[in-house]
Amino acid sequence: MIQRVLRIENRLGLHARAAAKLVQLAGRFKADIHLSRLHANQQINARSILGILMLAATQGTELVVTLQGEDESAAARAIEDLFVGKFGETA
Amino acid sequence: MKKDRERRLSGHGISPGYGIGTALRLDSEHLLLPQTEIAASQVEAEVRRLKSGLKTATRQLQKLRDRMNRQIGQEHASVLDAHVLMLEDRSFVDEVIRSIRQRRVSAELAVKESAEQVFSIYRSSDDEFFRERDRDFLEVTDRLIRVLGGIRIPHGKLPNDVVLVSEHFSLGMMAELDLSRVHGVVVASGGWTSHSAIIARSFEIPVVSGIPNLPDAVTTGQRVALDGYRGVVWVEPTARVIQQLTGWMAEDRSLAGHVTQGPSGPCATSDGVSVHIEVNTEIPEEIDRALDYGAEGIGLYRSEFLFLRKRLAPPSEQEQVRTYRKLSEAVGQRKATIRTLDLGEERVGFLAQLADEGTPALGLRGIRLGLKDKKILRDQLSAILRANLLGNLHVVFPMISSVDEVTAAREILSECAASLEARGIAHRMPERVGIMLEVPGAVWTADVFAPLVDFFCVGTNDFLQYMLAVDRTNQKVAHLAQPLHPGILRGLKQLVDVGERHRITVKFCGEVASDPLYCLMLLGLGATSFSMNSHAIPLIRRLLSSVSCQQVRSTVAPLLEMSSPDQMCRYAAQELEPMLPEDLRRLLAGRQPTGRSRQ
Repeated sequence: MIQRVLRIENRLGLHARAAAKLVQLAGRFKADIHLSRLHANQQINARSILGILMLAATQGTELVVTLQGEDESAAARAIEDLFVGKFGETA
Repeated sequence: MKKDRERRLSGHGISPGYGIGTALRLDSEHLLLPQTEIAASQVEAEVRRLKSGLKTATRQLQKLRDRMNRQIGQEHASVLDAHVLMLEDRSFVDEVIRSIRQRRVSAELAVKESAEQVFSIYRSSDDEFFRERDRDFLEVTDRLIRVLGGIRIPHGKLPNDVVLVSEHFSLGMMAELDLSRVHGVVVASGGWTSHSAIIARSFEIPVVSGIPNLPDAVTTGQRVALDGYRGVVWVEPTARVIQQLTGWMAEDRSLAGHVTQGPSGPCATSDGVSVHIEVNTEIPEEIDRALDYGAEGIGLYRSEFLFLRKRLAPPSEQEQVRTYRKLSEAVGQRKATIRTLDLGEERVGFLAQLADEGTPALGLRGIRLGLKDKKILRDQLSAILRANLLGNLHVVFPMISSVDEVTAAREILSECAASLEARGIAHRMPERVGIMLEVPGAVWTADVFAPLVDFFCVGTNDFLQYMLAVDRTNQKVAHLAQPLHPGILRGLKQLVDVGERHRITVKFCGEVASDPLYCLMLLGLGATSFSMNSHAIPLIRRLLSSVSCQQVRSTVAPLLEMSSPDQMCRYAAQELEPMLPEDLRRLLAGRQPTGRSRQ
C-alpha cells in the first residue's frame, strides 16, 4: 500500500474537467485508488467522478491518495504527475 | 359515422364505478409522473430499461463531445467527458438500480431521487464554485430522464371531466391532481391490491387496468367511457353506450342513497343478528364520506400511506401525531383501529441498505421490522398515544407470528407511555390492542394468542396468500388465491370459534369481506364483524340486512364438509347466490367480470 499527500495546484481546483482526467487515469490501473481530505475519514473511490467532485477540493487543498494493488507504484507516480502538472491546465 | 369510430377495449377493473370523460394521456413531452410505482414483476425489466437509457444518453453525450471537439477544441469538449463519467459512476448507478429493486419505483423516479441525494451534498459545500457543480449533474440526469421518456404534469388546469390514460398508475398522480376532476383512469398495468388501486377505490374513481398498447391506444382529447366493474373501456363511445352507462351510474347512486336514507348505526340481519361494518381507509380526509355510507367506524387504518409518501425519510413522530389526531377527530364518537406499519424493508426507502430479499412477503416486514428497528415502532406508538386523547383509537399489530412478538410489542407500547408520562406529555392508552392473524403458524394456534389481545383482525388478502402459498402480486398464480377452499374455510372457522370461546372480536378486513358472495360465506361461518372499502359498504349493509343469519349458516355448513374447491364454487353459485336480493343479483351480474378471481 502507498500513500501520498498531494496538493491541488491549479486555479480552478478539482473541478469537472480535472476530475474527469483523474478518473480516466485511475481507470488505467489495476490498483484500488482512494482519495480523502487530509484529516478526514471518508474515502472516495477515484473511479467515481461524483465522489471526487464531492471532495470540493479547491486550489491549495491537500488530498491523501491511497493506493493498493500490483501496479500501485506506477499509479502513484502517474497521479502525482497529474497533480503536479496542474491537470494539464495552464493556470 | 360515429359508430365506426367507437372502439371497445377489454381489460380488468381494479376500481369499481363508471366514468365518462375526456382522455388525457400522461406521457407526452410536457407531462411528468412525479412518483411511479411498478409491480414486483416489472422490476427487472425496469432495470434493463434504465441500463438501456444509460447507454443511449452516453452515446448522445459522446457524439456531442466529438462534435464539440471538432468545432471548438478539446479543452472545452472535455467537460463532456466528465458528463459521460457521471453516467458511468457506479456509486450513482448502483444506487439507482437498488432504488428500483427495493422500492419498486420507475427508472425516472429512481434517477431523480438518487440525483437529489447527490445534489444535497453539493449544495452544502462551502465553496460557491462547487455549489454550482450540481448544474453539470442536473443536466446529465435531465438528459437521462428525457431519454427514459420521463414526463411532466401539465401546468394549468385540467378539464373537469378527465379520464387519465397512462401506462402505470401512481400515488403521485393522485397526490398532484385535483381528483374531483378525474372521472376515471385507464392503465396498462396495475393490480387490484396495488396501493394506487386501493386509493382510487377510496376516492371512488373507476380504474381499468390491463389495456394493451397504452398510452398509444388513446389520444388526448378523445371521449372515453369506462366500466370499472367489468374492465371495459370505450374510446369515442356511441350515444347508446353513454346512455347505458349513465343508467348504470344512476343505479349505483341510488343504491348508495337507498342505504344512507335508511336506518344508520349498527346493522342487523333479518333475523335480528347484529353485524358490524366498518371501513378500511388510508387517509383521514376520506373518513367523513365513509361514515356517511354507514360505516360504524374505521376498522382498519392502513398507516403505510403515510410512510410511502415520504420516500427518503420516515414521517416524524410529530407529523404522525398530526395525522392520527385528524383521524381521531374525524371519527368522533366512533372508533378507529390503526395498524402499525405493515411494509417490508424493501418498500421503505430509508432502510434500503439491507440486502435484497428473495420473497418480500415472507421477509422482514410488519411487526418483525418494527421489533428490529424499534425507532419506527416507538415513534408510531408514541404518536398514537399522543393523538388518542379522545380515547377512540385502537391499535393492531401486523404479521404477528408468535406470542413473544405480541408481548414485546405491548411492552414497547407501555414503555412509550411511561416515557411520555415522565416528560409530562399528554397521552392516553388505546382501549383495545389487537393483532392481524394471517400467518398460518398463528392461525393454527390462535387460542394461545387470544388471552393476550382484545381482538383479532383477519386481513383476508394476506390470509389467502399465506394459507394457499400464492404470491398475489404474481399475475400467473394470483387467481389461485381464492376463498372457496377447504383450507381457507376451516382456517376462518377456527378463528371465529376461538374468538367466541375467548370472547374476543374477530374482524374480517380486506376484499373477501367486500364481495357479496364471500361475505355471505363469512357470515355463514359465524363472522359478524367486517371492514371494507367505503364503496362496498352500502351494498353489504343492504345484503346483510336482507338475509337470515340462521339460514345463511345452515346453507354454508355443507361447504365445511367439502374437499374440492370446484365443488365448493358450484355449490356456492347454486345455493348461496340465490340468497342475494333480486335487484342486487341483477346489478352484480352486470358488474361481475368473468370468473370470480381478482388479483
